[in-house]
Amino acid sequence: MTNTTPLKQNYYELYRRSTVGEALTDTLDELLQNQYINQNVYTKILTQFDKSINEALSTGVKSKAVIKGKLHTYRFCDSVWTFIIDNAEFKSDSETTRVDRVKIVACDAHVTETPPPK
Amino acid sequence: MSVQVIYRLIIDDVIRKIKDPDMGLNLDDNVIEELQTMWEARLENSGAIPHTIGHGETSVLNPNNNNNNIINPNNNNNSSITNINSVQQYQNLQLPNPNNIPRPNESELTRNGIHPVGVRHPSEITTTAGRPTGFVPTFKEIPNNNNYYNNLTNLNPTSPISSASLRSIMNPIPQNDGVNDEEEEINVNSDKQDIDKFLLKSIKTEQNFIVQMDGNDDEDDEDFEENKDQNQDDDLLNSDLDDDDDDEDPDPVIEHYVLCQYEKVTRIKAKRKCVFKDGVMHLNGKDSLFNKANGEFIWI
Repeated sequence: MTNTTPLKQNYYELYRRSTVGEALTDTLDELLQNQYINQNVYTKILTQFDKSINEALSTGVKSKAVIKGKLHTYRFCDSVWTFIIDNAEFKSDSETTRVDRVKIVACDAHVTETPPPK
Repeated sequence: MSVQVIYRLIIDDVIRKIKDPDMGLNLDDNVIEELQTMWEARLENSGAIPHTIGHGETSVLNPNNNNNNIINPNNNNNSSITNINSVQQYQNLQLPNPNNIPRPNESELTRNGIHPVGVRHPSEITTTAGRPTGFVPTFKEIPNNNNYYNNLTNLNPTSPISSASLRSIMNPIPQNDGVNDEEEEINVNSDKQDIDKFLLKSIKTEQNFIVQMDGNDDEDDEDFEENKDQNQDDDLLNSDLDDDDDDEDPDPVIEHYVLCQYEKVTRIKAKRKCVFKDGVMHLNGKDSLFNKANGEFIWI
């Protein structure tokens, strides 16, 4: 049975602000501006990107990290946590990275958990 | 899996899905190819993913794909949009950022709420037309010079003391219709000059009021008179009512970021413990990913 229904917004759009997401958004903006695609295609491709990156991160990434630092600002609004951390230290399996200030934006992991397609 | 591999998977998945007829996008193959090329080029240009050591031309995202347009700028492949099929061409297409265009002595003028008249920044042409300039009179900036208007014909927006300031007091309607008319400056009528002289004299003697010449007194003037004595010693622009520099932007632009999902956020006294998952980190210009992360943040 083929699924011909349009893509549903079951995945966070949060990652559109990542490097790979912005690269796609900028590209789509340019294609839209030059009328190679229309707004409907633009939206559908971004929705597909949301789905692809959410699935890739949940199934393809295995690494763990520990983040420590001084809490400069915190905010919880519309189920989104925003933290600004000063003197943050990121420890992963292979390396430690320090930055003077980092912003963490986190959406609720339990709201949009969707079963993997299949 | 490394960041490159995950990004490769994401790009391939998106491209595969939008090619799928079930998606119903009906996109031309050339457009899809161009989308992929430009997407990868932008991603590589960002420098956020580690480069392959020792390569000169190979794509970071797709080291085995020698047909990639990114590494073969001369590949025209009859695409309908081949004018943007290389990194170099893509870079050339970037429009200059209007914010990067230097503006004459902008900081000094705008700090005083003054916008140089006659020299319009491209971004302002569409945004400020027909709107008030938000001018705040700066009495301290006005020179004590009776020949001040003699210099108006040499109006220069870069001059340290903007002649626009006094003119704006007399004619608070912002000029949004182009360059100043010099004739207008030359033919300042004698009445206006008298008012200018009186105003300058008033400023000299620190009489911080403007003569009302448009009818009966307003009620506001009573309050002004009452507070006049109090305000005399205050610097109008630097009074205690002004915002302190300590007030920080609640959403400052921060170079390093983490986009993720939280499973749990708890607080014990001053310490917050968080459990994150599915994160994309951008630290020191490089991307990295995590499946799970524990955060410990101390509120001081």
